[in-house]
Amino acid sequence: MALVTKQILDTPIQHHFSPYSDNGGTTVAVAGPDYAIIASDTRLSAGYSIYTREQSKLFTLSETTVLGSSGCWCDILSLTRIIEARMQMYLHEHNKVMSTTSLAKMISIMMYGKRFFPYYTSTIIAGLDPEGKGCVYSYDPIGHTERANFRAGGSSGALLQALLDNQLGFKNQENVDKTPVSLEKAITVVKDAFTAAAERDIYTGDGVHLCAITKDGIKEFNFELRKD
Amino acid sequence: MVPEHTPGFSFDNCKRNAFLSAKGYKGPTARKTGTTIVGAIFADGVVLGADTRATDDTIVAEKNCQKIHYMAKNIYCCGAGTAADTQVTTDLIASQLELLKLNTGRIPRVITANRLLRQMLFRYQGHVSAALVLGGVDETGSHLFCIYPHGSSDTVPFCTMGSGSLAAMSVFESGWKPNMTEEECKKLVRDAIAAGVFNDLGSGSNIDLCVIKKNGVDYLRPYEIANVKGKKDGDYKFKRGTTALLSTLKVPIVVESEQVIQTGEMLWRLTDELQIQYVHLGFLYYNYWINTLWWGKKELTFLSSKEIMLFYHKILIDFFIFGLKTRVLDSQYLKVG
Repeated sequence: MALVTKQILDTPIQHHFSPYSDNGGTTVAVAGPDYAIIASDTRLSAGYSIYTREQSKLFTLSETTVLGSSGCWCDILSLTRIIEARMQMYLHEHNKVMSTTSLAKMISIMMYGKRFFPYYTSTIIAGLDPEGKGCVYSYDPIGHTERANFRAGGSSGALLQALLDNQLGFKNQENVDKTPVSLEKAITVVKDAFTAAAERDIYTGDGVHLCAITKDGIKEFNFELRKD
Repeated sequence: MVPEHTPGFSFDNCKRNAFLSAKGYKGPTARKTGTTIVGAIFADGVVLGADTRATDDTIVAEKNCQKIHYMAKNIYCCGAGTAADTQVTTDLIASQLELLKLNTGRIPRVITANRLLRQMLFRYQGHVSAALVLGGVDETGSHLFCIYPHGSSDTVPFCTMGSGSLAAMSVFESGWKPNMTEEECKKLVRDAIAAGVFNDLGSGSNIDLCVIKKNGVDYLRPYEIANVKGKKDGDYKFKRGTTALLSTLKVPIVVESEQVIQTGEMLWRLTDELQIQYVHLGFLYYNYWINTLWWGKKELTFLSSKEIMLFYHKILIDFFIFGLKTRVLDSQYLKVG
């Protein structure tokens, strides 16, 4: 016994600082010719516990841009708060609201600025570009970004991206009309994608919050998902 | 060569796997059943309950898995932990109980099952990660045990196990009382499992119950479908021709021989065959009839004369219908021709 105690006392004990937590959640965004939609589930969780069933992960940044983010919830709050502050500064300096494309670049730069202590988030923004076309930008935690037509991120990102590739990108389909889908069809696909994800991903469920962005403004929708 | 099977676990790959993990290789993980399992004693027996979700990390591996295992006719056992361990451990002890029953000619007791499980789990020092809720009824009364992976066990009037055990225990602590009726107890166990299903991410889908009483077992699977599968709004059927073809090959049909048969003739041929069959059968029964009348051998008859009459009537009706059909078919064939 004494030998064991001595061994434990002699070995140096390493302590870890772990500031990150994964609060789950999924975001999906689609860009169309004259619209963009973005949706997130409304479950906030950690480990095997649900914190709340009604926390949307969407942030309306301007009349043409909405951000969706999942991952470490405190980082999401910090990141969006700073983005909003930077947008205010831009407004005061240039006397105009930041465009979706400028915002996309700024977010990337802000994220890479924290390259060695990153915001632990999977972020997507959706909106209309200065020409009025729909656009979607997705980010990894340290600011790599790319414009896309549709994107899924978060805990079910890997599950849903394949579904979107097939249904919206018409991948692995022959003899079909490959013109971009209508807004209504895109909403249906996104809603069904969440229904499917809630079946198999324990971190996705409870509800969906969806924003449809067009030149007429942002329309919001809410759908129910399974609660187990 | 396939190595000869020896009883017990094989540790052949231990050294190799330790070497691989030291080199940085991550092996596959075993499937855990993040689970809510419970048991409660009531006036006439025991109610066991379980959810039906099996998880593989954060993915739901099975939406309707069975977690209430059979041990003996009067004993069942809920399992939480590593799916394979709970399944194999309960199966192994179930077969030992069956052998015990055959050797002694007595109904096995719940304490016997408890001790066998504990000794098995203790032997493996917690490496067989099975957390169990064991319940049953024997000649000494109703019994409930919860057994931990390292081989300890508690004798309790109600208990919960698995990742949803805290949610379920909160329901038991507020609602359990001694000598409940069967319906009261089933409701309480349902509520306890539902608490796990909705508040614990490791538990989900349906609620299974197992009511064990002195005079029998009620295995209710599912007792309640607590979560229905989500309905899709879109249509996800692919049209014919969506799948890409790598290459096509046309094979012409080669006619090797031809034979022309008149339709009417063919049908009559069929009728002929049927007639022959009926005549054969009729002759058979006629023979028996004669036999019984002539020789008075009643024991040879397996049809009464009334039944034979009915049989002939049936033949007549059958022929009538067949005749009609033939005519209809004939006219159709003729039209086509």
